[in-house]
Amino acid sequence: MTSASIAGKPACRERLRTAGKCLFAIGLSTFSISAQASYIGDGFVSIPEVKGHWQAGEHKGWIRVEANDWPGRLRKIRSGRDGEMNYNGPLGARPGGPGKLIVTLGVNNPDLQSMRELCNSRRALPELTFAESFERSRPSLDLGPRPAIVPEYWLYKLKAAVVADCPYADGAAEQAFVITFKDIDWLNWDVAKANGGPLVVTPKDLPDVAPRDSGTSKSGVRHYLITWIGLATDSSLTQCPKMNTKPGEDEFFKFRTQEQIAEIRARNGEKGVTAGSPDSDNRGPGGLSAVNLPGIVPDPGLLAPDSKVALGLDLDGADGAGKALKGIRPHTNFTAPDGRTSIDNQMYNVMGCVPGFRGKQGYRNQTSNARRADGNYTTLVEVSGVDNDRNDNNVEIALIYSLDKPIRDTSGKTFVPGYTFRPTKAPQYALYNHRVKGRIVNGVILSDRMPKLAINLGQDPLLELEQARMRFEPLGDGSVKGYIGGYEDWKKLSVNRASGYSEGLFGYSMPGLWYSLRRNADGMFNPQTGEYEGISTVYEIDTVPAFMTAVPPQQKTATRAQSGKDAK
Amino acid sequence: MKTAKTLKRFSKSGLLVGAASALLTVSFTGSGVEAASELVSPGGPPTVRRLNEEQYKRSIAQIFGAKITVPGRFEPPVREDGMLAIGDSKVIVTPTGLEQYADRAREISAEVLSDANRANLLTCTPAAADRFDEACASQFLGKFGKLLFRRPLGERELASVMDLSRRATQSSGSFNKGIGAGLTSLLVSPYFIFRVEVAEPDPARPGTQRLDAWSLASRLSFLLWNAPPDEELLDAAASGALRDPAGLNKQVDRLMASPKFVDGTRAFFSDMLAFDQFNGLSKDSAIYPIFNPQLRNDAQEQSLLTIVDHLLVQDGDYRDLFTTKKTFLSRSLGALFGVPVDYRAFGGWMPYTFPANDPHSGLLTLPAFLMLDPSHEGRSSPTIRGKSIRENLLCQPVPLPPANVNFQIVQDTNDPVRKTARLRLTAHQESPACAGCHRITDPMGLSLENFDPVGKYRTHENGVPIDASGKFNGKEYANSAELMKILRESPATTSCVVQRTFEYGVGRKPTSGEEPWLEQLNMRFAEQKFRYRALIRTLVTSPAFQAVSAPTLAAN
Repeated sequence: MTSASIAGKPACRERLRTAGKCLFAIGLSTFSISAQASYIGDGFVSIPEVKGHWQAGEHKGWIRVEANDWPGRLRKIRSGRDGEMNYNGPLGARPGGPGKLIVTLGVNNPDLQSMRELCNSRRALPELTFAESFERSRPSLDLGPRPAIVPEYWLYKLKAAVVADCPYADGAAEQAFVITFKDIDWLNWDVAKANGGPLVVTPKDLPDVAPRDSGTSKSGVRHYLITWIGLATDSSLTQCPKMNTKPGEDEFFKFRTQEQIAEIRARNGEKGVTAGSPDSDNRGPGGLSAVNLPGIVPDPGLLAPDSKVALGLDLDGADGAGKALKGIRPHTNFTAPDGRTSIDNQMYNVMGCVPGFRGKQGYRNQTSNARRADGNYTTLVEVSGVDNDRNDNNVEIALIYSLDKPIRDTSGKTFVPGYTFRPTKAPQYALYNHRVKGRIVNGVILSDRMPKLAINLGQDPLLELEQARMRFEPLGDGSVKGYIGGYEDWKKLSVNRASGYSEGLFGYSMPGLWYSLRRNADGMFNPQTGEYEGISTVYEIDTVPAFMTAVPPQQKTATRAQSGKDAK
Repeated sequence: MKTAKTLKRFSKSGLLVGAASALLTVSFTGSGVEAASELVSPGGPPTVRRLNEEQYKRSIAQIFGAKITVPGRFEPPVREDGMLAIGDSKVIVTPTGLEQYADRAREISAEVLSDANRANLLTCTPAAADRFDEACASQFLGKFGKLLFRRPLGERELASVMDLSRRATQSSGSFNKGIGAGLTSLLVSPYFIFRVEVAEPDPARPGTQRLDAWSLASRLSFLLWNAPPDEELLDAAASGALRDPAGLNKQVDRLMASPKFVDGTRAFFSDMLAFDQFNGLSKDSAIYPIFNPQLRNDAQEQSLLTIVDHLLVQDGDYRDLFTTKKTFLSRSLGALFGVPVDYRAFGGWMPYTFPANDPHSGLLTLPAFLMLDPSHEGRSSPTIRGKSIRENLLCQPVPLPPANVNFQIVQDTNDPVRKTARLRLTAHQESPACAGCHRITDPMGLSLENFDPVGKYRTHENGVPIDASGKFNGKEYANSAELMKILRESPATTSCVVQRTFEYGVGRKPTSGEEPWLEQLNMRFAEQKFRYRALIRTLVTSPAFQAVSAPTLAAN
């Protein structure tokens, strides 16, 4: 059981609420969080005498799988005190007994037939090896770099294994393979450290991004407190003739027998199947989880906005006409409400009609920003080096975290401008400070393209974007309206939305969402898989003008030392 | 020469009443200042002043330690003649208030004699826990009786509380409970709850009276510390040292050198500036989202810090409080002024000087003064601001408005024609019944219209430029900064703080007989270059501070 302070409880509740994966037990002085063990994304299987077709890297000759699930396994999640960073241990079952691993293969996977043969023959496999990505197995709030002692892939040896089942639903993108085994060895991780450990972040790990002091900076510097950041998925009142809803009985019972349906109905009575319950989640063929392994059912569909107008940015530099750029899937660009063309925001197609994620009205966006408003992860935009507010081709734009609370009016509705904020050196935030060159064109602040941009959204999983850009438009009241966009790994996003509870709360079907993400992915082309792994996405940002003060020189040493100490 | 001028002025203002009794008997002295003879003040009546909430709490903390909690609600203070300190001498204790005092006394007594605190406060050991120990009880009750009553208990008083304690010990079978009952009786005594001033014949002026030494000690400590006399001051009263000018000066030096002098100064200016109105002060957050309890508290603290720093730390000219650019900022005040603050302002205060061209200039342009209007949550009131300047800072009372006044025009901030307060008030003054007072209050208040109801600077109201010009004492000004310069030079500004300091110290308005002396104190203040420390020292070491002109209560 992980010892943790009471400060960890809200985070656990939030995970429970949003991911539906979190179970926790409260003792007198300690509690632990447990989560289901699965993820969507690359894993690799090596079976003696079966030659896999994966051709890249250390897993050349292995069988690539699309997703995995350790049914019944609840991984204990480290939840440290506020300010502590941790990494977590493997997802896999612990040694010392039998277990089950479910993997999925795409229907076009060249190793599909081999796996089907193993399944059909039920051939006993003395052992097989499974490689599971550390990065993809991380809980959503697990931040920071991979510790040097942690392997890129956890390796397991499954002993006396059998591919015991391989249900397939016609029209599904993937097929599941249920591998049972008598025992398991962890090949590159000590079971004694199954729960991971503290993540050490030293000052040299932190980006050297300190605010330009509002009071003493000689060059023009502007600071803006972010009061709202959420998916830019709401461009008009009429964009969705009909909104998505949580899955219904048509999905729940699609792969059930009449006897099973009768039994479920009898058991649940009038209230029916509850979102997030096993009856809801395990609706895939063979009673497998269609939430954790959404590709194993046919696409139930996800309603998309009926609109060519979307908020956002031109991320790929192309207007959509002519030949697609390298690494970009041809797609239809949007037009912004202000008339800008070439807008890349394919996420709008996915989330634009999902109630929980639709702009300012989206409950998920609201809860996340409510915590931001409470000061849980205060973030500021800094624009510095401004010589001319209208046109300046050499400015810098920074995102800097503070632990000072934003101040709102007594009704809680309005953020008060003009407050000063101090930067935080707490590594879970300071790791995600950024500074990038940019320019001002006709008053609009534009950043250069950033190869990678990670933003700690606090309650939400880390937002990791590639080829990211920022745009801030001045408003008449001294604030700026901002957009941050880039390409997001849609499979990582899927993992964070793979929750039956969230399906019910936010109004979507996980398989429908997964298929939509896959269908709309337009960037981060992977030549090894031939897949587009990223989807263009844009977050809209509201701000109020603010100030920042730099850390006084006499505090710098102490703060940095403290940072290192905290990380130990 | 100065005396002649003074008398001429008294003559003009009709203040010579009582001056006939003034004799030149005492010399003011001071370094680098021309020595002048001090007029003898006939004094005024002694007062019976109820301890205000802060004084009560500070008394308990000073006598028993800061750990002792003071529970319950206190009866509200009353402002009379511009000062709570004067109101304190005109209030009574209601039956409900008495119940509160009694409950509070029992709880304090129980806490003092609790296991956690008894060892520190009960310095003798009773012979037995269940029997009355005469010597120990006498030591305990005598010591704390003296501190609570701010004088030794009389024989009958001590005998009475001893008898009560004895009987309570017998009935409860507990010595601690017995003396606890005695302590409770001391805490509910009017001699603790009220500061009862006692007079005695003044041997230096046969036929006249002065405060007795204990009462003088209380006047000194409550003025300088806003707290009761400590043991050393009471010892000086007991020994007669307080009657000796050297002994008095020594005690005044000590009291003014203490950090508690800051507390006393803050308490005085809080009273003078009517900061009690901050309790529950609110503004319409839909119109002024920046206003919140933190800003309210910070605004009050900012002004007090500015006053204390200027008058005590910098020993600055009192008049400069009206024009100073120096102040302190908290994080919330930085937001109000639209300036960044540094690390010191987070949970603390950052010294700050407004730029020379900044419209903020002096105390009256700080938010504490500007927001302190409990009757208008959604707009500024030039009338209230002007009235506050007149009454609180110039000591010029403004008559109450007539009962049937129609405020409709003034209150309509959405008036499509009269878009500024100046236009609305001009229309309001068309009523002759209103014009008289508004001519006194409004011009100065209108000059502060560049500051909204929470103190934020503005140039327009409803899209119309604000005209902050006016005329005061025959001098025209264009804006608030110019008005502040005129106020700084006004004799009324300095004479008012002299008058208020005196009133705060003695708990009443000056009698007509005291006014010549007070005028001389005012002149002396000018000679001292308007230094507050010097003013206080001159006041409290003067025979006028302890002169009594009327019968008084007897101690027992």
